[in-house]
Amino acid sequence: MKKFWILLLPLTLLFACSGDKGLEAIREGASAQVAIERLRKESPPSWAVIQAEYEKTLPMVLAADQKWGTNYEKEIPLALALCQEGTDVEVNQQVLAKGLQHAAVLGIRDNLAMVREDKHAAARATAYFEGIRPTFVRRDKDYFAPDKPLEQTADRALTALAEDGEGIGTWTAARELLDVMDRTYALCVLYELQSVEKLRDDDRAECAVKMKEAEVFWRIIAPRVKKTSSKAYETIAAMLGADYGAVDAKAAKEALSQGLSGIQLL
Amino acid sequence: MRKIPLITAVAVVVAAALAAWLLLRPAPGGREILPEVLAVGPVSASIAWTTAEPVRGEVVFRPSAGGGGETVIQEPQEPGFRHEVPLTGLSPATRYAYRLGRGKSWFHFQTQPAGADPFYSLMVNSRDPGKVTEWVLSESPDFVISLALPQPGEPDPFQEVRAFVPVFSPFGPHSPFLGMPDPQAAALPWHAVDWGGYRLVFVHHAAPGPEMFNSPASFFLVMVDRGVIPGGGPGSEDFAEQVRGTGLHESILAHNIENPQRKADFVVLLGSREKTVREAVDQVTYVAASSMEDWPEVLRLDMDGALVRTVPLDGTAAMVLRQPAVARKLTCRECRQLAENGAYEESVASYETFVRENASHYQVDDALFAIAQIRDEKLFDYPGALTWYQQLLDKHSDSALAPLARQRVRFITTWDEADFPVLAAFERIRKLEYAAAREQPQERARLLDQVDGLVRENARSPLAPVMLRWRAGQLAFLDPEAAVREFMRLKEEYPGHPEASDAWMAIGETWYAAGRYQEAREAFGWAEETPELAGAARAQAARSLRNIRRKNFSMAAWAVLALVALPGLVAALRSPGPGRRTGAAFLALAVASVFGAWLIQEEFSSMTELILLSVSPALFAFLGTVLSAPLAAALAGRSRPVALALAGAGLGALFFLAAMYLVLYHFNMHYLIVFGL
Repeated sequence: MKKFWILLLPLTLLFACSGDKGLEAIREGASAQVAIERLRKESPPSWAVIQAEYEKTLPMVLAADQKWGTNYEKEIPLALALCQEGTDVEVNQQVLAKGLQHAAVLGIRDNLAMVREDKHAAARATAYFEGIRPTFVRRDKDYFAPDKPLEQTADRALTALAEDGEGIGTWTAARELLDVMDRTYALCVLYELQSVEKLRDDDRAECAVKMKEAEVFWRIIAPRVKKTSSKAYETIAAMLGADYGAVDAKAAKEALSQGLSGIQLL
Repeated sequence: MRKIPLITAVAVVVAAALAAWLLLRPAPGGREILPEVLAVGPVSASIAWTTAEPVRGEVVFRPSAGGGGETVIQEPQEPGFRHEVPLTGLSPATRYAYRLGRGKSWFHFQTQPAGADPFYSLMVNSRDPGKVTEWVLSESPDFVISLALPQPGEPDPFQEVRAFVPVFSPFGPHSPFLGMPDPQAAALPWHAVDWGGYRLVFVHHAAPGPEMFNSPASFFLVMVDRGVIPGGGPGSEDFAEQVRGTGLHESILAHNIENPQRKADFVVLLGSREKTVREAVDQVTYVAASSMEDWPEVLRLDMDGALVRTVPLDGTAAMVLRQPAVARKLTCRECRQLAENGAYEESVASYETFVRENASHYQVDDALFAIAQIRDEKLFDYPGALTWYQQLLDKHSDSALAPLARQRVRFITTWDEADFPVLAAFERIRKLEYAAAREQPQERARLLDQVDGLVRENARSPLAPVMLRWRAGQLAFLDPEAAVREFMRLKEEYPGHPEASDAWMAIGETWYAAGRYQEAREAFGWAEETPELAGAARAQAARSLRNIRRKNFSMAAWAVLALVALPGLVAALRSPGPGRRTGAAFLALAVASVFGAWLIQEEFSSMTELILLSVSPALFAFLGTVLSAPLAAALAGRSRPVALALAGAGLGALFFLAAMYLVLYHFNMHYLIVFGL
């Protein structure tokens, strides 16, 4: 028995030493992303600690900016600085939280594109996904409780990606993951717009927060919507750029359904 | 005798590994059967495949992206070699995942949209299986049209993708199951593909009758081979006469008279012209295009109601083939839509018409700015852009867009006219080609080399440091050392240039992003000498130092582990350490820790992290005990109980702390920050 434990030591050390360094950085970033979600909801939030956590997500943010032309490396620190000085804290922290989600989704998309060539790609996509999982849980709760189709589908796809490796089935798993992410973020846009409809007569400050959330969520799915239907794209873009009175959740739902061909939104 | 249990344990591990490999390795000769998505409608589809043994075909399918359970459909006929299973009760415009019987791999396809909802297909003119697969996977079209016909002896480029999308050719289905298309044996002079309220008709020869329009489709897109209409094609002098004499035109007019709401009013003439030319004859628009053989390797064909456009996947400009009819006066919004669809030339022409016809319209300043901006940022026509920006500033100096126009004029006039071609070449690479090559590292490297060529050819141009800086910035993500070399080159060749002023800072950021903190710290140190960068550089240098310290700590922790573990291991093999009860105690501690962590599971980002962080303390405390007790006994001797206890506790604590530091360093650095490490 003792020798078994002694044998376990080198195995444990071997395990600790092995692994993909990039993967560890992604895991660290995803973990920091979840921590930021928790920390920013504390009262009052410690922006210095959040700043330290944000630094761990920098590789993910920089990779997204470099590859996809986003500008979070500048937008997020600016939003954080505004939060620290107490300017529009509720609105600005959305840039941080949702911007990180956008960067994580871009990271997943990048890795799914190379899933058959790179054996670590599936693991990296899974690691990125941990950072955005809470959003799937929330939207499941909002629209499908007690079922959890969004989270379950994502988990099923991630498992299939991990198990199928380089097999042809990874294409379907990757496509399912892309679809369920787009579906989730389309529901996020819809949810925020529905909230604006409810709140616009009573709480315009909260509407500003909801609109900012919708705007950053929209960035995640906008390219696909634009590619499929320029009319649907323009409908949502115009709604997000106008006054709260112009928000029409029913029209938004129709446009999102049309722009996300292949996906049943609700 | 004492070694027997150890040998047994090793043998068990080896046997288990061998068994796992035998169970998990792919079965020899177990090549996967690849099905074909044959016919897809809005609410049905059919999957076909062949087998080497007679079996009864079965398909399991479910909606993709969540929202439904699995359905199993068996083919109705008796076991056979050829299988075709119809799937019914599907929803329009929905992706479905399916697999064959108990097959391992899932495939997918998408049903047609109902009515005239938007969709897109790919027109592929390549026989390269790798490229075809990449295009289909990245674009995920509703269907594929192969313009390149199969050649005997060549690999089938669509073999894999047929399991995901239906593949058509201008002569019929492109399907080994149904038989590959043969232009010589085609029964009709035309072939039609119906999809989502559209009918695409390919006309090859002779005079097709109006039966080619026998479809409930709302829109028709006719693609005609060169030769069906004699003469020089659209734009030539006698084109209208030549068209009116053809059976094709007569068939179109006959259909349009009978179906005024569903007119076939748009025809693409393949092989007529290298450049797109349009001409309307009897309200039917004929568009000349190059021949199929000369088409790009791949084009996306977007159908969005009455709007049809082609989008080359190489990042070059999209082209609007068919526009919705403009029933009223053109508005700025319609012009903008053209630009958003990538039809920049058409958009500029529309804006110019708008400006001509609406000189006093309140949106004229918007239109002037849009013309200038499209010329500036999409077409890279800087002289043209300057003219239009200037018009806006001269005629609408109080416009809200005037400051932006002034800014762009200032930027463009920074350069001499002689620099405009270089600027255009650089901006085209930077804004279009480099962004379009995001999935192709080799292509990106080639573009960066092109920029290097531009820098070297125009070393005395004021654009050279700008281009060099951009190149270095891009290299930072691909090859940090090359990026640093380029930043140094920038500093040395263009000292005093604003682009070179923060080169040390950029070098520091490059090293930092590459995890080379020592070099980063040194570079930030150099950056501190520039007064305006000093604050930021000091902060970054401090960050680098923190990371260096953490790395050093981790090295020290590894050393401590080695110093305790290796002699501890030797000592443990020689003399008995803590007994079975100690193991049980730590196991109980680990279980309790996991349970405690589970109670506050929302504090952890994943189940793996929960288990890792809760089990590690018990595990490392146990290992520390197992290793340090015999080591302490060897060092202090069993006759001195106080020294033995102190040495054991000290070594165990040292091992525990080092191991826990490594766990946190490698798996969750957040806690190191919390502990001020």
